[in-house]
Amino acid sequence: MFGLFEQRRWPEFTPDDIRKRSRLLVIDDGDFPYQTLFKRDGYAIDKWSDIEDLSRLERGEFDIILLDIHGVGTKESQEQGFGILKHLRSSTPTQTIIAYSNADWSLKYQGFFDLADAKLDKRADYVDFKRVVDEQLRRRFSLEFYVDRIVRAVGAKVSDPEKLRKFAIKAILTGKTKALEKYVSTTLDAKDVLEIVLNIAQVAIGLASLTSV
Amino acid sequence: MSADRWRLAYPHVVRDERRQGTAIDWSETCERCPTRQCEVSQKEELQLCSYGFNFQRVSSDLVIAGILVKEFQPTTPARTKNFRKYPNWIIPLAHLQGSVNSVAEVISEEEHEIQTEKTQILDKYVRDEQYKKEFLDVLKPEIQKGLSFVHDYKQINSQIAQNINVIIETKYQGVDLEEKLKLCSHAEAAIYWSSKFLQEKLNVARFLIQPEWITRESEKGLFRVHGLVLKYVRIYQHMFDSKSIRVSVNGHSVGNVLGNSGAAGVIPHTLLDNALKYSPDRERVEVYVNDDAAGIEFSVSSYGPRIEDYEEEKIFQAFYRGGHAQKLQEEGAGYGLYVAQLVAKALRASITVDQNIKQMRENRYWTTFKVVLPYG
Repeated sequence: MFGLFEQRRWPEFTPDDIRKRSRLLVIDDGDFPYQTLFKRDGYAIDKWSDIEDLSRLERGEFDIILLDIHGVGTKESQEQGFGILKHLRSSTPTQTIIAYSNADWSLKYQGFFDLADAKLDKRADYVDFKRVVDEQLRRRFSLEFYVDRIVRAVGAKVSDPEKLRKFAIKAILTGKTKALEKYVSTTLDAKDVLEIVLNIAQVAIGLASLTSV
Repeated sequence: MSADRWRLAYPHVVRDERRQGTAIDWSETCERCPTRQCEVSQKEELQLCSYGFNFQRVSSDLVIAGILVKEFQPTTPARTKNFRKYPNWIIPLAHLQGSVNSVAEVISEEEHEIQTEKTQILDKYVRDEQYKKEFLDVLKPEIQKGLSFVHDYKQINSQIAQNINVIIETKYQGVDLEEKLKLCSHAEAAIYWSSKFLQEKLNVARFLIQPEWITRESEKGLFRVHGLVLKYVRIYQHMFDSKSIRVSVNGHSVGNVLGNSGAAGVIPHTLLDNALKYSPDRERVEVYVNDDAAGIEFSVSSYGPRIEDYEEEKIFQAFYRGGHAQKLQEEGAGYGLYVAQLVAKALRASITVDQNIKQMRENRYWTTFKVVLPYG
């Protein structure tokens, strides 16, 4: 398909492409009236009243999860939604999560909001929900998103983040991860981090191989 | 109050302690008295006990008793007997009144001194903002308990907000929400704006319960004051319309402020809320936002309750409500201006109030609340 040194370009996804390709999930033990509006506007959106299948979340089946903090994930974690968010952050580093709750006042829940990619007030207008979701989807379908996640996964352990960034871009666009793997493993001795980096790269390679719908 | 400062000629009781007079002692009858009616009665008038002695309460702490006032009427057999048995205990009414008056004067002076001292201590306490650390810390659990309904209200309000959004979005065509709102029925628009209004009301409680939010670094950013003010004017417009109050926005501002815009919203919210609450129907509210050399001036002027000179600072204290404001509107918690001032101070500013008592409508005076926010 590609030559030995051929480097693909990151596909140009139009807002329509993004909407058609993406899957949204709302996890909230209460009603979510905006589901009908998202469906009307062409989004594939599911709603769970609780964690119906954690493994599907771990596999990254959904592009964006709108996650409430209270009343969900009680079987999986004492910290409820916050516990689920923390778990997905480590198990599925490319997962985009929007924290969405009425418990946005209490400072003790701020960790939940800080750990999320974005936050939404439950009382916000639909146009605000749609704007935040569209922003997150646009980010998620960009090369920068995956490169950032790789840099974030390695963290301060790498002395030259710019070099790591270049290796990551090359790996994603060529579909070959050997050089990235070598650079990360020689820079730091942490197999778990390397595994996360390669997982992120693989998700991005899959997306890079797509052409427009 | 220093009771030892009083030198009384007649027997008296100071805070349950019986004292001899400098001229007259307690009589044997009074010494043996089992009922002590003189100490029980709270009436501040000359009276007669069942043992035939006169007494008069001078203050809550002092009673002159065990005397026989010559002119007192009516008389009783016990009193007639006492006149014979205790002739040295008989005094003219004028002497008693002289004593009562001089003691009352001392008490009044002392009470005034105490009140002045109390006010000075309280004013210093408030000036130093010590109450925030002590008073509000002590009250915080109570406030939280009292506002425990807030979470339920937020839940209910989010359902109202989302469902009215669904109705508006599905029923009306338009390029944006603004356009769809213009097509809404009066009832639909009222539900939508009431939900926004409630959201803002509840938001003020948030900063009262958790003032840490006001200065939280993660919430800080640059925001345009003019945009923020217009947002609140829009939220309140529906409510002003229902009272036929005209709202005008004047001035020119493009300046930004650095801070928590969510918290800063409490300032226009509170000032507009007060204008709505106190302004007579069919009157006007003037909003002014203008970039000045010192910063962005924002003010709200409307007819409001008289604010006495001594209340100009007090109205910004927690849970204080102006006397005239209470008469006009019995309901009110008295923390809106307090939180608004807290936010203004976090933005390195201060809200001031100015009232023109010559400009009056329906017992309300033209009042301007103003703040100058430094540029970010």
